[in-house]
Amino acid sequence: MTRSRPWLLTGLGLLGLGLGAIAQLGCPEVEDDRRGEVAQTTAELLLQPDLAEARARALTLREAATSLCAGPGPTSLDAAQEAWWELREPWKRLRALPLGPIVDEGFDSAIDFWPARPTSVEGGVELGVSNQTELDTLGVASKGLPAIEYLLWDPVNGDEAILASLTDPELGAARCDYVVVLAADLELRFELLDSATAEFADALATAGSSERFPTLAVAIDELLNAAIAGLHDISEREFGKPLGLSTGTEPQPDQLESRFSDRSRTDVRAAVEGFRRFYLGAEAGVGEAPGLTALVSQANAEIDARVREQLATTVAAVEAMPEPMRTIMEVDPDAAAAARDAVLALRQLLAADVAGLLGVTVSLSDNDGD
Amino acid sequence: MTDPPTRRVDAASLVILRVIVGLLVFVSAVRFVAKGWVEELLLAPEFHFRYWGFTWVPEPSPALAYALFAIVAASGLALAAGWAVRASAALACLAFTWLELVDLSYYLNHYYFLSCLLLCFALVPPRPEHDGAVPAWKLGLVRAQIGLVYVYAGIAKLDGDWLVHAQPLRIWLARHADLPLVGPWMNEAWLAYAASWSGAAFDLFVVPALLSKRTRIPAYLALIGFHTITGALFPIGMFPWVMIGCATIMFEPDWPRRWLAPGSRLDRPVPVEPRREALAGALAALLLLVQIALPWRHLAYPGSVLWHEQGARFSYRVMVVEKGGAVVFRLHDRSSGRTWQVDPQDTELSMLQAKMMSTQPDMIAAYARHLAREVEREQPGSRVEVRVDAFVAVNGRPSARLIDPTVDLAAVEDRLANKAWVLAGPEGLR
Repeated sequence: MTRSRPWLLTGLGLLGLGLGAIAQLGCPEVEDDRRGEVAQTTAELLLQPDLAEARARALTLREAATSLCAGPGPTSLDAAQEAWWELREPWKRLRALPLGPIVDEGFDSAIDFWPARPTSVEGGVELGVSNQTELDTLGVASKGLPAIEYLLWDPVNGDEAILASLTDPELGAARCDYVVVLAADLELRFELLDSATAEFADALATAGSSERFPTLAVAIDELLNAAIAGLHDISEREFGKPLGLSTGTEPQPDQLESRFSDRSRTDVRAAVEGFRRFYLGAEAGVGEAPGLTALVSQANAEIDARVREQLATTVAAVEAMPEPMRTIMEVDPDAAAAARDAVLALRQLLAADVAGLLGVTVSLSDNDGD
Repeated sequence: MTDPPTRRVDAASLVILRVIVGLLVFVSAVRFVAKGWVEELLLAPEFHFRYWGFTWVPEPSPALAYALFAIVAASGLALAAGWAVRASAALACLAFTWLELVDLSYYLNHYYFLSCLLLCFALVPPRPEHDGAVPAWKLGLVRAQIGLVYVYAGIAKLDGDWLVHAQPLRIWLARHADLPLVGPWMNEAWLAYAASWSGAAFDLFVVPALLSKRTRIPAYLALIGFHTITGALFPIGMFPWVMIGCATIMFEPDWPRRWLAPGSRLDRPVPVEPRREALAGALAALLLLVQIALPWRHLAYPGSVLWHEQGARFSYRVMVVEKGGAVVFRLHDRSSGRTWQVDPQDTELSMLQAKMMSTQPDMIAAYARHLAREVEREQPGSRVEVRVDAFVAVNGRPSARLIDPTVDLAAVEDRLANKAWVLAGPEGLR
């Protein structure tokens, strides 16, 4: 026994060294898990600032609409049109990620039900709606951004026709009152959306420990699914159907978004920019946000490069489209098709490559796997 | 396992297995209804993807669907209680399999396993015979029925993606990097490799380890640990609990008696008719042989089964692939010359159906045929061709085109022959 003790001690020593080595090996060489950062910055540097901007611009639009009706003229009309135009920018960026109260509580329809239905808007005018209570009895097709656009723009007869309609002795006053009520309603909707989003944004920012997002995986799944849905809206609703690209029918300009103001292409560009900011984060000017690119590149640099390349192609293809989109199929159908195909390819990359890479689960169902 | 087949062995372990399976069948049926899946998965979709060879199975009405779940639950309880064991197992198998056959979007290996196990129970009832025992071949058949799940799950893991690239575990484990304490390790490659290799070894060797007296206890503890961890990390529902329960059949046939008073009876013995039992046993053996043969059919198709999916179902290829897919259908009416596109997101398909279809060629072709039929029905005189742009990413690779975009899938028949219109997979999956 005594003779064997040195061997025993040596053995124990070697065992200890081995265990130490294993422990050393086992110590996590922490590869940053940046998902929390992505969720937090998406909430704090994308959603909330865009919403604050939209809310401020909705206030400007309400003031401009009030001024327009106090003194209808080219200057006040220009101011109202500009306020509407400016409000579209942050709103379209927000819609690029359709998640949270925007979709869950129907704010997307309340604020931006399109394509616009002139008959529904005219119905509101003819009813003489002049206050919020009366407006609340009408459906979403009679209000929101598209309704205001319809009342402020006439793509055929121009601003003169709009000013004439607002000063018409018979219906001018009712029309003007309706514009003001619509703008006030919009301001209210953004205020409500802002407060509803505060809780959602907080849950997203604290993903992993919040009730809505108990794990970071749930948060990233929801963000990616929203981005895919946003790109689907661009490729199908903004291009596919109105331009006849997915339906194989003649173009239907009355299905275009922002068709009265000819902001359709600018809307598409803003929506793509919304996605670009989500994906690239700081590289697209969003503070210190890592963007989804941080997660994708960490998992597979080649897939990240593909997405970036396709994103650049998409931005360029949208830029290359001639204005206005309502005549694009006559002027340059190839440019329209190229832009739509680019968005579609980008969505395919997100749905196949990125979703597969991050193990993103399908929305709306939790049926057991395997 | 080396007992002569006719030797009498204690039926106690079979009885306990029957009780466990019966209760789990009951819980599974109640859980499915409680989660609202009857409505969401079976009744709400206007279109169902049907299994090859089983299109004749009627889609149940809402009342019938709920009735079938009630039958599954009630027969599960009856099975556990030992009431009309053969009939209860047959009824549970029939009702459960009918529900399973409604839509192949919801195919799961453990649903298939449960159907086979219940059928096995109907043929070889897990109950004591006149002398309180059963012939060893009955126990052997049930053990084989359960053991082959592990063996084939292990064989499926002897693959480059699993062993060389530690995929898809790298993807799946990384999703849990925010877990307390162990979270940071989830992003580590070494853990994914360790889990992949030990997972493959576990599946391959756990059955012999459970059968051997010397290794049984550590093997069963490992099994509990394995299924508990996978159940906690992955959305695999009741599967871990089913397998933890089923694995007890590998113990000694009389193992439950250690906890029973000497001479006490677990179940009422039932006299059997030897010729009928032998015939039923032969059918059970045939069922087993079919299950043993089916997983190898993928070898008849060129390329990787992970890519083309031919031969993937009914093979117990458990948790070996993570896929993402995107598909757009391009329709062309030859009579009018009109060409248009259909995005699955804008169709009657549910999100889950669309997701499952997007990576599986036979489902894509089935939906292409459905689209063509629908248009031709709505627009008499039209002659519709359907082509697709389908891209699939497998186990973290960049996506590749899955289906030849020039092939009219509306004209493709649903057959077992190799689908030549499925393109070769990317590097590593050819």
